[in-house]
Amino acid sequence: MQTLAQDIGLTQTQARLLISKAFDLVDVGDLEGAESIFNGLLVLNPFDAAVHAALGSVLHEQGNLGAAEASYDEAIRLDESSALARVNRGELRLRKGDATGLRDLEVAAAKASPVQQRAQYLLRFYKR
Amino acid sequence: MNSVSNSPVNHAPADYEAPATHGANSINVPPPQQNGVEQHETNMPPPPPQGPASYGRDSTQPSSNGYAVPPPNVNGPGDTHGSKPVESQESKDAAQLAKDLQYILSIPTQEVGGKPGVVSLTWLQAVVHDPFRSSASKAAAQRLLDNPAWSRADADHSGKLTLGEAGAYADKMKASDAASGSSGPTTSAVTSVAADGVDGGGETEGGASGAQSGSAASAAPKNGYPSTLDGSVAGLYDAQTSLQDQLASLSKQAAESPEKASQLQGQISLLTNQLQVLNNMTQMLQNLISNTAKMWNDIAMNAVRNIR
Repeated sequence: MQTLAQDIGLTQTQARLLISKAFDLVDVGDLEGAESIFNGLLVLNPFDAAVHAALGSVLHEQGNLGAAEASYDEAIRLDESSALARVNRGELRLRKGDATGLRDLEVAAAKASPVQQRAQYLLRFYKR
Repeated sequence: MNSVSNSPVNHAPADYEAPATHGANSINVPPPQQNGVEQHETNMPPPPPQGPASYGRDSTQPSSNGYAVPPPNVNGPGDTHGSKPVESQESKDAAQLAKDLQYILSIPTQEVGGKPGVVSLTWLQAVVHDPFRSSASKAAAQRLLDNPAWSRADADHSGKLTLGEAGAYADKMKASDAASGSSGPTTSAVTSVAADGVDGGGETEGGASGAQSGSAASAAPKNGYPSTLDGSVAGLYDAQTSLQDQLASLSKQAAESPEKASQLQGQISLLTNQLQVLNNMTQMLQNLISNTAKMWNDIAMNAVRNIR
């Protein structure tokens, strides 16, 4: 499906610049501004998992937990290995008593350190 | 005896078994059925503060899907498309040197380095450590400092380099490649660099109309929009126009066919909402642009006052 970003010729490099500007706003505490940019980017390209995850983080910080979780859900739907979405959704779910958040943290931890993951696997294997 | 994959640790085998952190056998993670949250509070350090664990600034890279693909740069340095065979490393270094120099000279405050069109090693070091510089400028300055071609292009070893010298050196390397049969048609490095455009020039937003030097000022965008906020805002206006056209078309259809109107209402509502989102984004970016322009203006005014 053709996105609006493709229609207007917005490249990945330009998207990276816009994402960077949104994070600049986060750094100075302008979460609404960052939210505007992330939302706009998703209108231009709704298939960008990284932007969904980043938007989720902003909504999460704003206390809009339902919308944050929906953004993380979409990020993970588009990219199962999205570490940012996994970590933040995992924590969000655990905080509300939903133990499925552990699974998100496990997936994110495995992605962050496959070597440690293998060490754990070997330990378990030889302890049998 | 148990057998286990001999694959090296840092190369997970294709049939790599799901690791140990799953389920009840996990060493560190309490089983989900025991209610993770309560268990964590007794066995683990206090929970971190509210809010997301991370914004992931460093790890947030846009997807490779859904964005426009820049057209190949047929004659640009480092181009690997078309009939051009492999370039020598010297030629690549020289082309990169010319490209980075072109970029550095295109930024609004290049006069700080001395004469227009000349870059010195000491100025580049200042750029690398200047907190007001964009990461793109700092990276270009660092590449210039690290580029082994610098001393070869800087014939008199004065520690200063002009775009002409860098371009001539890059051309010489290309010609050398061509003579040895390792490269295709030669194209002037400086011309190629100008045609290639200035990529990633985040620093030039709003201030790009300031002092420019020589041929660097004519850098053309790659795909209709330069990689700056100005360019992105221009693209957003196009996107809004596109949505407005679609809205107008849908509204017309709805007016012409009342039985379809309710069916189209959902799409109209969605597009209207998207238009509003893009409008908010555009406003935000315009604010950023004017703030950045004001910041550069203030810096320039302060500098002028200090000189007086």
